[in-house]
Amino acid sequence: MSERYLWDRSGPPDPEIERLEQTLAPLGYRHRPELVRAAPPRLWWAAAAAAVLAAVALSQLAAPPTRTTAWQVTSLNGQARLGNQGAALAMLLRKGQVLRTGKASDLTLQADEMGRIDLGPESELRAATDLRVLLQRGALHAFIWAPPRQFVVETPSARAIDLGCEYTLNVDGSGNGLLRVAMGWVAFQFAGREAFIPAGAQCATRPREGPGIPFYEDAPEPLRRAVAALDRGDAAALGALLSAARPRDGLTLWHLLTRVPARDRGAVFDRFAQLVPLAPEVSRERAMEKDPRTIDLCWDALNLENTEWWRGWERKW
Amino acid sequence: MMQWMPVSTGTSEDDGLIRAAAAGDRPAFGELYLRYARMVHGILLARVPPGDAEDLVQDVFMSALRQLRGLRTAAAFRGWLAAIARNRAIDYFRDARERVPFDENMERDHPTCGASTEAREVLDLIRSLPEAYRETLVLRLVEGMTGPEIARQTGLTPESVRVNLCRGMKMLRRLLGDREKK
Repeated sequence: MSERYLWDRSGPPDPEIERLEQTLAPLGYRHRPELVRAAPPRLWWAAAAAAVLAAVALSQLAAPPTRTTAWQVTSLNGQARLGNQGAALAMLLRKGQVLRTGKASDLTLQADEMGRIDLGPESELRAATDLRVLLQRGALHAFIWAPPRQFVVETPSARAIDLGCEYTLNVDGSGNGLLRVAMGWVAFQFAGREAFIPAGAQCATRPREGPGIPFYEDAPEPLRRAVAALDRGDAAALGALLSAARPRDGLTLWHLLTRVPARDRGAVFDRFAQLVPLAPEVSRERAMEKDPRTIDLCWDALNLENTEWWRGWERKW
Repeated sequence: MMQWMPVSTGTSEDDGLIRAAAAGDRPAFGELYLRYARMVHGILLARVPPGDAEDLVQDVFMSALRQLRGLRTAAAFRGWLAAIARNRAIDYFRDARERVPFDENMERDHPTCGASTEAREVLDLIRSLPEAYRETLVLRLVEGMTGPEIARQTGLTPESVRVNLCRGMKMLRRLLGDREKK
């Protein structure tokens, strides 16, 4: 056995240790994204749907949940159900328990060390832990003071990860979502795709597709229409989007750099370079290859604040 | 013999972050989270089912955040955080009867989704080892940390980590050999 290799990977590699490292790596903290990307999306979705149905059936047979979370009802207008009973002030949300608000009703949850969640009418929410909730449908407004990256809202079509912020998330009955960020940042994530949404921007998400292209809410109407068309898979909308883009819409173009097929990437980069002053070391050729360092430099050129937060995140480009 | 003796690591680049976090600096705490998440995850994974380790990482850090102001010295942070992780794993089993199944959607991002049967079997073998060995081996073989990193982050002495790695690896090889024979 090579003790040096076992100790700090110096010296000749030990074949058995190397094999164990490779075998066990998927269980490690940082290997989750690659594993998800490896799964064929459609097959995965079918399997996930089956798992959802099975789990729902199982949860109906399971004993009532008994563990509480830190989320407590602090205001209620109208009607809401917490599990099998009517919601009331000071009630604690339990793990796995379903919270439903009625028509024309809203409810606020607060957890002293996490933040505040306002639920709009006809919403359905469950909590896995203090830090993970599932918004099945409806409207959720979150103001989070827990450390960035800790609080997560799952939806049927994407995962919203708080990077220190205030945001609103709407989910319709089909699982389509819309995220609007009022303060700070949110990372919107699904399988191998993610979007970074700063304050003043929004991003749609769709089942099986994940987050679309984020854009600023003050973007020109033609750009907004083009983003919506691209999110629906209409590649022909790219030209209109590029024409309508302002320098501030570099955010949108930056996301497109890694999303569009190779044949369109040159046009996106060229427009990006027209609108955003780039560092001398940024080359078109490297951008075409989606070189991570180049993509980083392009982001830096946007001069968006708090970049350290998303740069510390699990980047996938 | 298990080697849990903590060591004072003196001043390090993390100490400023720890002091800042203790003073309520949220970005500093976020940075600590990034730096120590692997260590916490490894300690949990040595004890609890892989599927729950990730959620518990967050619990550990939330617990740490609540108690951080009470920490006397930055140097104590590493061993202290590791201790919180071990305690959280103990609580996990204490609470096990009360847990309920939850979010099916999360299973898509579940860290064990892509793990092979072989990986789970090897992990089970590691987890059958004495506590000190299994924790150190998980940090080395699963989380990819080197011996010096393990020592620095857990607060154990480098000598303790080296002994745990060598003895643990020897035992693991024996178990793997036995498994092959079957």
